[in-house]
Order: sequence, then structure tokens, then C-alpha cells
Amino acid sequence: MDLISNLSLGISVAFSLDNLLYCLIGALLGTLIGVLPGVGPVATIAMLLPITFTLPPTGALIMLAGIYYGAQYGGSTTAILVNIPGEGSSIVTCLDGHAMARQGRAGPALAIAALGSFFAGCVATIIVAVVSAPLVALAKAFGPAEYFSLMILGLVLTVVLARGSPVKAIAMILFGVLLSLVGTDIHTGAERLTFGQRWLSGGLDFVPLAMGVFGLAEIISNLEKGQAKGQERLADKVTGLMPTWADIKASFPAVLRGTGLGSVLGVLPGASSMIASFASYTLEKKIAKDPSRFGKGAIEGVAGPESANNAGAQTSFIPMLTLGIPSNSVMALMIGAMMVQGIMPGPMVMEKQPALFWGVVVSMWVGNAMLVIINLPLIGIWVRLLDVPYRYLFPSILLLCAIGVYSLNNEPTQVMMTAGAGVLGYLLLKLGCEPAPLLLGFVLGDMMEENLRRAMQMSRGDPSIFVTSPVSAILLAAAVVMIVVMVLPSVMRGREKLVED
Amino acid sequence: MLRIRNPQDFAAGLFFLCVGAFALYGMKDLRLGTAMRMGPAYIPTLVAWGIVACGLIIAARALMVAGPALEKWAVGKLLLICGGTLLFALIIRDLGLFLASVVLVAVVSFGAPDVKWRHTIPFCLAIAGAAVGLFGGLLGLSMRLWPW
Repeated sequence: MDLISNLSLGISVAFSLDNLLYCLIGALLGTLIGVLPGVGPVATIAMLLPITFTLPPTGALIMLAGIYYGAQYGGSTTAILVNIPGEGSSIVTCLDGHAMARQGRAGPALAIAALGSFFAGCVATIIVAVVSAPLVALAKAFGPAEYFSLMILGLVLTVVLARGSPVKAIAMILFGVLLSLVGTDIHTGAERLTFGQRWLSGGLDFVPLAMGVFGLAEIISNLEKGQAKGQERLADKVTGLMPTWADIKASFPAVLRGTGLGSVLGVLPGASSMIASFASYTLEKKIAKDPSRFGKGAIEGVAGPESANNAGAQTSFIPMLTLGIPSNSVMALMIGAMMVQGIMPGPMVMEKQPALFWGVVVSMWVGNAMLVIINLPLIGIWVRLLDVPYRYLFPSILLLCAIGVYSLNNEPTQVMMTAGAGVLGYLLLKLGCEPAPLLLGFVLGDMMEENLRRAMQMSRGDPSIFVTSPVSAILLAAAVVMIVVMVLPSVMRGREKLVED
Repeated sequence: MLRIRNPQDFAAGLFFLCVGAFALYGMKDLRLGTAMRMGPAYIPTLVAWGIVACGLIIAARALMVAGPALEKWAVGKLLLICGGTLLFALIIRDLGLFLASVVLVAVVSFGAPDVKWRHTIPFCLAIAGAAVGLFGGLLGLSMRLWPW
């Protein structure tokens, strides 16, 4: 019955006028930026992060969560209408969603995507609420050794699920960890890797790094690719939104399967919501009576993946809220935002700030509901955004980034760091290195160092503490199993196939 | 015979090698400490060696397995976008938000292929005005808005 009292606390927080407003603004802003082609949720959140810093912590997190769903939602709109995926998880939506749009059925595709996502969001919110409390209870028994092992497991999972070469992903994680260690060492007061620069002694900041690596680098690469001219615009063809009864009957089982699959995969660290939508698409195609319909406008191919990625997006909050461990780069940004607000992410959040915790959980549902209610009728306005020339859009976005970073603490060096991170992000892009592991390593880096140091102090320098504690041993064993599974060549091939499909 | 079969990965390997080596060089004067009482350099050194090792593996694999070539860099656009942002940082404190915004937008606009002065000038002024109105007025952020 704890659950009910917790949820009612959450409802009272999430339905307060302020928080409803923050949620609404977040959902609208997220959709606004997310609709723009080539701008995915990570870049959107990185850009809008500073706007939330003036809000109270609960409001800020609610707004960020709203931005996240909004961005995903906007991304699928662009995928269906313009055939440009804003991010990994809407690549599969392009396939059948755009095919439907070309047949003049853009309306039903958008509606099913929205309703499927909403259903998935409702289920996943309940899962988050039910699973969190036991996980927090477990996590509270964790000592530094267990935490360290847990973070190792999380990072290993990231490597296993990341696209491309695993060694590159490991290198990026380590690079991120290294960047997080720049600055004054809290134990000894020694300056590390600051090269005598005073502005580095406080360490590198998360926001400029994320904004440069994701925002600036993405803009440069968009400009480089050039605007896709003469893109097929299907905006005018959005006529009736209502799906037919046959559509609903065909999609409902797909939505159910997608929700289940997405909820499970979302908890795992890595490119979770993308993997979830790919997996769901593959599943739908496998069990369909006539697989050849897929790619030509099969509504299951929209319903399944859209539900899966939304469910995954929701359940990826579980490790972040309960353990303080991000499962993807969006959650890494959330953790960054919490820290800026002075909240130490981890199992104590639920106990010390129950209003914040349950408020955010309930607001996930609120945000999803708002998106369906507001966005379906407004679809015409969002689509109009696609007509704004990029030469006006990207300078505005850049200005938003620059002002946002500067406003953190009126520090020009932060903006310079953003510019530097932009160069770094572009370099990494050209070297074929995924930036997400870098960000995860950066967020976890100093926590890992702190826990490793404490564990080794407790054990008087004996590393066997990591295997004599049963929980830590299990976590590390799981990490080893993952690595073994990954290097098995057959699995390797399957993984590549999954990503290519 | 040694041949670079995957130029992109080979470059990535070299990059990580340099990052690791640079970090090790930067920490050469810091105390390592022991496993029980770790000095400031203990973990960063481990991490840096890890990066060096990854770099070596990536570069070595690039000699064996074929892969994508190095892409060309859009150096001009990179300089414009990051340079514009840098200029904003350099002048915001002394000249204020309005002028800094004008400069940023004007510089980065040249990253677009279809930029024209008669579009850009009014656009710069409008967006800088909007920025001052939104951040200085509406959100009330405490920062210098005008040069005077």
C-alpha cells in the first residue's frame, strides 16, 4: 500500500499548477526542437538544459523529462512526414511511417504512433513506480565496492550495446573518465591535468561539454551535408487523423509487444531506446503473416517500434532514479542537471526527496498525456516549422546554446569550453567515434574514482574486496559474462545484423 | 605487409594514443601513491594507460581489417561555428548581450551556403533584440545587456 500513498504524493506534486505548467512548457519546447530534422533528443535537452536551471529542482526535472518525450515525439513526426530520422530510434519509424504517408495515410500513422507511445508510456510509468522501491532498498545496502562494480557493469553493457567497434567505445568511455578527473583532487588538493590554468582547477563542466559535443558538432555536420533540397513534403496531405478500425485492430497487439520489449530493454544501459525500436521492428516482421508488407506501409511497423522506444525511454529512468547510474546519454544529461540543482543522484533521492522522486514519476504520465492531447491537433503548426530555412534556424540554436552556457554562472570560459568541445565533437565524428560513451564515462568518472578509493581504503589496499562481497562479485561476474558473450563471433555477427537491419 | 586498411580507425587509434600520452605527460609530477592510499595521479594514470592501450589496439586492427577512408573536413564551417561561439565568449562581458548576439549570429550565418547580407543584417538585429528581451527582460538573467 506504500505504492498507493507514494503515487498519491506524486500526483499531488505533478498536478500542482506550477509543475503542470513546467511539464507543458517542456513538452512543447521539446516538440518544437525535436521536430527539426537532424536534431535528436540529446541535442535538444543539451540546448534547453540551462533554461531549467532557474527553476526549483522538481520543476526542472519535470520540465526536462517533458522535453525528452516531446523531442522523441517531434522526432517521429519528422520521420513520418519528411523521412528524416531525428535520432536512432526513429530510423525504423521512417520505413513504414513514411511509406504510409506517401499513400496519403500520414494521419493514421501519426495517430497510431502517438497513441501507441501513450499506451507504452502509461504501462512503463507503472513499471517504474513498482520496481523503484525494491531497487532502492537493495541499493541502500551497497558499499563503495558494490557501487564500483555496478558502474563497471553499466559501462560494460554500454560497450556491448553501442554501435560500431567495442574497442572504440571503451576508449571513449576512458576518455570521458579522464576528462571528468581534470581539476582539483578532493582528497589531496593537488591539481590534475590543469596545466596551470586557473579556470580548469574547478574541473570541466558537463553542460559545455555536452552542448559542444552534441549540439555544435551536430550543427556543423548538418551544414556540411547541406540542406536536403526538394525534400518530399507531405505536410499538406495530413488530412484525417483517425485511424480505421482495421488499423487499430492490427496495431494493438504490436503496441503490446512493443511495450513489453521496450520496457525490458530500456533498463539496460546502452543505446537503449534505439535497440528497443529495432528489436520491436524485427519482431513484428518475424511474426507477421505477410512480412513483405513491411517497408511498404505496414501499420504494425509504426506501432510496435514507437511503443517500444517510448517504453524504453521511460524505463531508462529506473537505473537513473534509483541507483544514480545513467543508462544512456539523455539520462547522463539528467544526472548532470540534478547535480547542478544540488541533488546527489542515487538511492537517497527517493528517501530524502520523496516529493521530487514521485512527482517526476507521475509527471511522466502527465507529459505523455499532454503530448497526445496537444500535439495531434497542432500537427499542422509543427510541420510548418520544417519550412523555416536552416540558415535562420541554426544561428538561433547556436545563440540559445551560447547564452545558456554563459548564464550558468556568467563565465565566458564556459562558452569557450563549449566552442572547444564543438571542435572535439566534430573530430570524434570524423573518426567514427560515437559520443554517447564519452558522456557516460564523464558522468560516472569521478563517482567511480571516489568509490574505488574508498573501497581500497576499507580493504587496506586489497583488491579482493570486489570478489569477496557477494553482490559485487555477482555484478562483476555479470560484466565478465557480457564481455565473453560480446567477443563470441556468432553473437558479434548477430549484433551487427541487428544494427544494420 | 603492413598497410593501412582502415584509415578512419587508424587515425582514431593515433588520436587516443596522443590523448593518453598527453595525459601521462601532464601528470608526470603528481604523486601516484599506493593502492590503499591513492595519490592524485593513481587512477588518472591507470585510465591514461588504458586509453593508450585502446589506441594501440584500434590502430593495430586498422592494419588488418579494411574500413572507411578518412572523410574530408569542412574546416571553414567548423571555424565559423566554433569561432563565432568563441567571439561571443570574448566580448559578452565587456560589450553586452546585444552586440555579442549580433556578432555570433552574423559570423555563424556564413556557415550556410545560401547566406545574403540583406537577409542576415535584419535577422541579426531581430534575433539579438529578441535575446535581450527574452533573457534580459523576461527571464531577468543578470548579465550586461548593452555596451554602456
